[in-house]
Amino acid sequence: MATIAHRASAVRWTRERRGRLVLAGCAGLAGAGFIASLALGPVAIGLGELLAIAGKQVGLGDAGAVSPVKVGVVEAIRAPRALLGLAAGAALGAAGAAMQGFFRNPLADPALVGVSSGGALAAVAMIVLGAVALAPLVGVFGPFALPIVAFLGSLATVAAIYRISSIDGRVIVATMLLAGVAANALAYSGIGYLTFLADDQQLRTLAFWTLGSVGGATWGSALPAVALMLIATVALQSLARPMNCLLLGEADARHLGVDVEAVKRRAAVLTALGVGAATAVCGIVAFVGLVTPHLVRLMAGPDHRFVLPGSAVLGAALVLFSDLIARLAVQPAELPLGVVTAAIGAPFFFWLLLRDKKRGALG
Amino acid sequence: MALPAAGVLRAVCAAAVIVMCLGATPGAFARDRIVSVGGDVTEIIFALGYGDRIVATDSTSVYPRQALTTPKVGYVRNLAAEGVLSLEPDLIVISGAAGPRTALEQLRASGVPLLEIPEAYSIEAIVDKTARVARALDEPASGDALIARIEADWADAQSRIAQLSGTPRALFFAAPPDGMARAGGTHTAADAVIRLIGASNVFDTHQGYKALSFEAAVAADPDLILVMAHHAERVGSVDDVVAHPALALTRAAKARRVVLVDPVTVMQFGPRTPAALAALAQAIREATVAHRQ
Repeated sequence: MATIAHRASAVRWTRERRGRLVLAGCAGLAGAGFIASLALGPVAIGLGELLAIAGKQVGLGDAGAVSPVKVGVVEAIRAPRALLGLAAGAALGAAGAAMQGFFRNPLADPALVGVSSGGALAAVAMIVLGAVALAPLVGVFGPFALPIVAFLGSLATVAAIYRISSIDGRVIVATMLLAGVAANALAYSGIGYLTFLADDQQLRTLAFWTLGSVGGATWGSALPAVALMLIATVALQSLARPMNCLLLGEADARHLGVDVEAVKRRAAVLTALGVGAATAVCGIVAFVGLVTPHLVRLMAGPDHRFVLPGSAVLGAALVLFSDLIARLAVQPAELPLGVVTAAIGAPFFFWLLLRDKKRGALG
Repeated sequence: MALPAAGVLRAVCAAAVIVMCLGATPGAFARDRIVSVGGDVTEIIFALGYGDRIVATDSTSVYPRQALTTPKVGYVRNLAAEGVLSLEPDLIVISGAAGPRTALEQLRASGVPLLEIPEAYSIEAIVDKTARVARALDEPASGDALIARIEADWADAQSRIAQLSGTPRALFFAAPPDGMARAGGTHTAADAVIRLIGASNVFDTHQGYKALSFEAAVAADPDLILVMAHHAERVGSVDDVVAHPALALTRAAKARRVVLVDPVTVMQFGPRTPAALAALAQAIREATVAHRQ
């Protein structure tokens, strides 16, 4: 008995240590991505110049030797862009992990099942109809109106998909994916109709929506959404333990004292908040929420205490590095961010399908 | 001896005054590295003799030929601010068509002199664009010369347009209509071209370029069909329209009053547009005459 208990605690200890190591590694990667996002771009800025600009910000010395254009590039373009990439990646990663947790299947992804496009449809409606129909909302929420409207669109989609694809709390994978296909089709048709209605000025704002980009981040447009994304990401972390219980199935989770309905509701609302806010400012950035939880689980195991925060930091790293590719690959022009994340994520999705097919997990 | 010395002195003084004026004029800046965004704007800069100072253009800048060999900062409506700044411009000239809004905000915040040229579809707008660019480049004389040429070309175009009889009811396709047709509604360059050649737009019920069913095109029964296309690339377009099973039913197709419109010279509303409108009026007249014979 003593040796079994001892062995069990040893296993737990190594799992624990491994999880921490993975978290630290992912956080390091995200940190490196953030610094690289500040340092690299079509405008060549040396590390010394970057330090001088950073020093000026915290009141150490001045950046007098650095050309004002370079200071402007870092302060007005790269810094809000890096912050937006960090927050959007974290929100999408954590939302993906939470969705896979409460749908209890590994193919749930905010973009795949239509949560992103639902948010995008709401945001596009806000832009095209905003001047007339939704004016009172803008009056009340100011700069928060767009992310909040996108959040409501995402929430409606996630609720509908869950209702459609679950029987007694058990989600049928194929139904979920097909419901996602239908939700995406519906949202894109709505976006298409609104694009038809849009005037020339509005069209220019809508163009980037379906492929995503963090390139247009300005402090004014990014900060409200970043705040909402970070709130959602942090709040999702509190669901780690109940989600671990949910892995055993809903009945067992109930026996363990988990208020299953409340956990699902919170997960759905927070997922929609993070994804909606991200979509409102970045457009649809697909596959981040699918890829990152899988990578974290491969490295650290299925414990949500590591999967949730790990997906957040790895998601941030993925978006930051994808955005670096987007801005460096065809400079001085730029690729849409969604093109890069989909190029990474879609093959990964194929690989998941093939793997599960071999295991016979897809019925 | 005294006379030449005084002349030299006067010349030196004049040169000094000019240099001082240049230095003191508010808004006078170096113009050695220009990023030009927008085909119309690029054409104007080249026409004013500053083409060799252009270090990059956008993908709509396709004339003159040298504009094609510059680095490209992407599509005019989808700019990346940092990419533009990476070319170390000392002047960014940007068309009113440029976007997205956030990229323009970033460029305005960069501190690099930015000249934004409002976009409008009229001859007055072409003159205004030219005057603005000439002022920024500090080339009032060549600016005035270019404006004079634009106005002379327009006068010539007007006399040709006056020879067209009546007010044809025109339909403007944004691309050769194969499979799907998009027509130019109000608030478009297409609509402006129709009005400038003295025709009326049958698709004025919609704003912007919108999909148009062939049935609606037949119901509208235009006298004149204009098709946006590169003449060199789409030789068969006129025949395609005339032979199109639905469009063949229109008066325009029956009379073979189908004319190709070059998207660059006519539609960009740059310095060559008045001359291109004259050529367009000529082509419409020839199509009409050819049918009568």
